[in-house]
Amino acid sequence: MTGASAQDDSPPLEYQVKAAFLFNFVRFVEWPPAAFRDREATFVIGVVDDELLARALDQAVRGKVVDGRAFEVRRLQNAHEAGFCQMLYLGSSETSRLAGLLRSIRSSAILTIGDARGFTRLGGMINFIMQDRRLRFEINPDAAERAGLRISSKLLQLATIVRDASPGEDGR
Amino acid sequence: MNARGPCRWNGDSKNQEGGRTMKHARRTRPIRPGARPLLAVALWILWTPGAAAQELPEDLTQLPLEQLMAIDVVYGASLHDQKVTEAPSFVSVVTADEIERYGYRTLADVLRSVPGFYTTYDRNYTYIGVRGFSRPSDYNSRFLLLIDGHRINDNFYGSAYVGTEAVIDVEQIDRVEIIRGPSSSLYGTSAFFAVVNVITRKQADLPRLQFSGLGASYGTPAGRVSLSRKFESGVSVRASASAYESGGQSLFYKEYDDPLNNNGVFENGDDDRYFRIFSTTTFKDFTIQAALSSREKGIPTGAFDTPFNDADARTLDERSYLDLRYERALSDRVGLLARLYYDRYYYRGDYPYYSPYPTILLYREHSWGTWYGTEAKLTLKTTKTQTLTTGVEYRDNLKQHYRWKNVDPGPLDFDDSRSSSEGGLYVQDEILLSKRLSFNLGLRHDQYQTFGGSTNPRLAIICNPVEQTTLKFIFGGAFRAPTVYELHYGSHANSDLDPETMRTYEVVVEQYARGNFRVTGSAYLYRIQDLVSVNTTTNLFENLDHVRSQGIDLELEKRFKSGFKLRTSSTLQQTRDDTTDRLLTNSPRHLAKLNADFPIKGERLSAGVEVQYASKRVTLAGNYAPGYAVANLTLLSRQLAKGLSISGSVYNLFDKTYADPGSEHHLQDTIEQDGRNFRLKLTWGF
Repeated sequence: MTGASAQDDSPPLEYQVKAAFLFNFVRFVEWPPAAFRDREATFVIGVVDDELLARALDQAVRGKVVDGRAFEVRRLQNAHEAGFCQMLYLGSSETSRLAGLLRSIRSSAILTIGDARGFTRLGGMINFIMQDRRLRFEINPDAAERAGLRISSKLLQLATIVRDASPGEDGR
Repeated sequence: MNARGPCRWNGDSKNQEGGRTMKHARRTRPIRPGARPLLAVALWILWTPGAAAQELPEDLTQLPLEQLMAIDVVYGASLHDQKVTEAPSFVSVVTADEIERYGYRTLADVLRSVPGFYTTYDRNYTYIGVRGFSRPSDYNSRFLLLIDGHRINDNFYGSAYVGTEAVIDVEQIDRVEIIRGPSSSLYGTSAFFAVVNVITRKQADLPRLQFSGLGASYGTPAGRVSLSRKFESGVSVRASASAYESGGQSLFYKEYDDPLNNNGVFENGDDDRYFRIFSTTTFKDFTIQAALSSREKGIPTGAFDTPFNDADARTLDERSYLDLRYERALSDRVGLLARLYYDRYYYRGDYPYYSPYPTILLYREHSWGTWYGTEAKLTLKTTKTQTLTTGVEYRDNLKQHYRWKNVDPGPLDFDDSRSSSEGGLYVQDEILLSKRLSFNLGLRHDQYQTFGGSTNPRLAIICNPVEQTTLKFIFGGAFRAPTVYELHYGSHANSDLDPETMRTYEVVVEQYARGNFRVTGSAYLYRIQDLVSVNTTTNLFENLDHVRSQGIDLELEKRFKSGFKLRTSSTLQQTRDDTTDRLLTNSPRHLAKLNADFPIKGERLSAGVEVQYASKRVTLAGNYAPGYAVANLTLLSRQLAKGLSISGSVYNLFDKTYADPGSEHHLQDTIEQDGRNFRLKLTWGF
């Protein structure tokens, strides 16, 4: 059944669903006011190393407004460019690259999201995991707290919690 | 459509042959009027595969997290996806995105890009070939072309146009589903070698207003404007109008290389122009589609024995239709689709002839086809494991009119009109035996006023031995009804013709692997019976040829996270005449394709590279049209500025000289194709 969707001009369903998750996360996370330049500033989602997800996000956020803010998707080569982002998706699955990217934005008020084994233990905040062909996610609330982000309890209830010290459950 | 007449009427044989045709041109008995309303009431329900699929909204962001977490993302499953891959066939899909990225200009460009397909251009019409089969001058009557489910093949020649003569702009297309092999068990006549199902773009996908302009080689400007609106009342409208003009080239043919024929150079005869209007209006469950297209082309080859380098030889094709569709899910288990349509086709061919040399007289051929029809289709999910689809279809060919006339001055040589009707009834049952095994059984009976009936089955076993592997075993049957042209009007008309038939056996393997990697393989055997050919002794069309074709297709596709996309395929086949054991003409033993889409800078800049190879093909004269490989390159920027996109294409990048086999209407054994040529296109929408 993926035959057709693999050729569809919209990204594969997995990416569309991930994009929908990202959009939904906005409603369940509170950013400090300093994370935005002003009240009208757009909400910027940065994407590193995943063009398909960027395309899915382009479609997902088109015309959307949350809390008076419109959305913008930026394709980034490196986390250094993530200064104006409120959310950053890291598509890489290489531990060394992820560690470097996450280190460079540590303690910025940026919600980091990834899709790689060990992402949360490297300091990432939300990590997608695939279970029974469905997307689940794990959250490291400690990492979010360090960055000054407040994640609602509703989102935490749906997630697998990974503490800095805990062994985690990010297997797939 | 072209000059099925002139090949008969040229020169001295004109009058006597005309007489023979008159004899054949008896009017058929009009159909009993009482039968019509009954059938007209019957409704046509389109395939609604939703029952088995995950029902997902267009905009996934509207779903709460809990529901997002419940989506099966491995087997992506919007409604049409289910349909395509559950189809008991080897299916390809070409999307709007690919049409843009690879710079496709016509449906022919789209079809050429998929495994097993090739096209032949005689510098007037474009013919589709698939799996080694491309019948000369068949106007694609062995392919079924649908636009949003509406049958495009006309009621005179059965033609399905895909070149500049096609009904629709490729910019209007959301995707093209190409279903190989016979599908007569569902669609009836012409669903012979393949069904090409064009699905047009939805109103929501289009900007409110869009302008597009292009310039291309051979003096070609073209423009298009489209509108898309959704009103408060719930009515949504999209409409588009386009115009195209091409001056064409001066063409050299060595067969005419003598002083009497301008030393083989045909000047000012390759012009091509069309306009198209297309609109779709949707309100609640109703959709009205209206289409009109008109294409005029010079015949720059001296075909049909017209004087070489005479620009008066030309054809005009007009196609229009009005289609009213009602589509509704009556419940979770029942889907209904009903359709009512009215269609027209008109062809005019101008053929100058020496009568006698050096006096040139212009002859004009006309064909009119008018028909209406109605269809109804009901999809019932009777149990959790069974989906039943049944439908009925009726077509009334109000007018099938043919005229051949000596224009200046001249009396009417031949003028006759007839009408006929046909209907079909079918049922398809999909049975899910277990999670890993399903059956697809289909049967359709068609009844024609002209030749009688034809019944065609399809049986497919679809199994998933492991989750990412699909195996399909398919047995299918198809028919192509003889056209009114072959029965009554053609130069070789024979009212005793039977339908052409075929039986096929095919195995398809689809393998998906992690990381968006897909492999599809297919092996097939086609046995084709009673192909209509001219018997050289009687000079009439007869059900003469029997053909056996076997081959394999292999396709690989991989999408990378970077957005880079690669698709490549290879087809090996052998198609032989059963009697002579000779290879068929215009039948490449090997086809190979490569499509690569490079995102250079996101949506800012991407490059689409395409390479197509066809091995040598036997020509009518028994020579070979040599094998060739042609590369095309398109650079696309979708975000040049807000709402502005630009694309630049180079076709036949390396200026490869290659030629397609000619037909019996040509003196040329092969007809050279375009060399390197360019197109620049700007689209602005807001």
